[in-house]
Amino acid sequence: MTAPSSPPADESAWPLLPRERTWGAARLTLTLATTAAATWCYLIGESVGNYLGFIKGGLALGAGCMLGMVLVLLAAGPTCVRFGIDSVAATKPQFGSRGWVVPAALQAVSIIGWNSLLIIFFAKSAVQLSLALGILDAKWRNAALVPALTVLACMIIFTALRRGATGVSIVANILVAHVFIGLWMLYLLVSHRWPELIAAQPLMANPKPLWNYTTGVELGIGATLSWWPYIGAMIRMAPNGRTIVLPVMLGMAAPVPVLSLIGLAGALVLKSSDPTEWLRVVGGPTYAIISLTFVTAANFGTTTAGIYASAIGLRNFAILQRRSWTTLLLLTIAPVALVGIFIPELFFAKFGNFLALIGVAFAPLCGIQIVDYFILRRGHIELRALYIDAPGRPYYFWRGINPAALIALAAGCLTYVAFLNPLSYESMALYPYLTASLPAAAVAALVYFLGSLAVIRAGRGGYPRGCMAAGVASVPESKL
Amino acid sequence: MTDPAAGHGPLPAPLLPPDLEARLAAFESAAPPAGFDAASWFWMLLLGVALPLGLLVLGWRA
Repeated sequence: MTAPSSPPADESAWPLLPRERTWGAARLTLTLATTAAATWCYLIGESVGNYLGFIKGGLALGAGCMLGMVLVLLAAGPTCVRFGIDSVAATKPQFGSRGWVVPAALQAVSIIGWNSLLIIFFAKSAVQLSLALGILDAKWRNAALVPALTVLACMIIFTALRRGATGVSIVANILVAHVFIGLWMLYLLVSHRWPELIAAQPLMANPKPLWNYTTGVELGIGATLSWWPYIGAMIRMAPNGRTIVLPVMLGMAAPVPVLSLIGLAGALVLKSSDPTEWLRVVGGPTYAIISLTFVTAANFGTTTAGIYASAIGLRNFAILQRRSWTTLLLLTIAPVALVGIFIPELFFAKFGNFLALIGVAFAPLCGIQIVDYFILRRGHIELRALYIDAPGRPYYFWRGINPAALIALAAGCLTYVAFLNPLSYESMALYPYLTASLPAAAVAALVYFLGSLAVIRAGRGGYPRGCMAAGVASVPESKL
Repeated sequence: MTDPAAGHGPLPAPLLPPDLEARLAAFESAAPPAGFDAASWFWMLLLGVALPLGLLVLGWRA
């Protein structure tokens, strides 16, 4: 009897060896930029356009996106890039050798949810594009075409991802042009409608200017915090920390506010963030076709990267470690396809609210990871312990779960909702001065720090000796 | 009743898949992998802290 063969390195959740991390800064930048640029940029821009004008909104969003991205980079970056592991595996030192399923569930729901939305966007755009090009007759019903195109898109993504991370990179190489098309679209709108753009007033502005400004910043922070589930699977392909910083900050964070300006400008001037609609107004049907191509390509690239990241995340489950890559891809794509086939309109209408609620968890998660890595562990991660779920091992805590992390996560989420209700946008008095994501991350970090004092006193968690003034001995390295 | 996690005796090495074991051994036998270096921190502070603060001030005055 022969043992089942191990999956290729980039199709597993196991640490990538330095020689396997072949993505340089340019390749990583290109892949991250293609991943970041998608329909959500218009939605983010439109949301900001409800509260702020073009210049103020663009600058607030830009500031928020860069702040959010640096939090994600500090949280997931060090562990992922040092050991070549994904975002979910990097949470084991905080949540425990079993507790990591909580961030894994957040990742799965967030990515599958977003992918479903984007793939439905993709299918709708493809239908519109086909109609505009005369490939389809207008009498065709979208209700039948959207599910069919969803399945087609899933099949193409599945085929591309059979090659693992290389498939993500190939798709990014092909689709990166859409980022430049997006910039061209922005130039068109700005150059054609500049006076109107500057004069336009947001429709839903709060009487308090600071509240509006902070909301613009918060939307930016929230947008880039939602990259947490994606980032590990990408940056693990790079050889070291130095290689990832500029690609992440310039390739993944910067395109979001820039391309969001398309939605912001459209919402302010033409009261529509949909570039297809306003490019038809500005430049006629040819421009509309170009923009539809952009939308179609943009969502396709993001979904490919998302499904790859999600599949790698699932690999952390012991039961899936030996399954074929094909099985894993099917498990990841199936929910997206089923949503697109059976409930595309319902999902489109309702799931955004659920995603908004899920999104509040990423700020606390980042706060927990940052305080754990930089303050409590001071960069000391036991790589072997990430893969051992047994009593007495550093990340076993209590039955594989670190209660300090779960309590801190809950405290952070409650703090976020107290500062800003993500559905109603009701806020507390301090929100305009602090945002909601930053206090949520800070509270989670503080609660985690305090909870960890008790964990360290109990000798759990594999913290390095003398990491706290209390100086209680933790599990020594020799016990590995 | 004793909790195994609280004990300090040597623990038997759990069996890991051979490929994973080989990867872990490769990491353990080499120098610790590099995280962020000084240049990384410089760019992170510049793009993730200084730039946003500048944009915030600029935007508020706009």
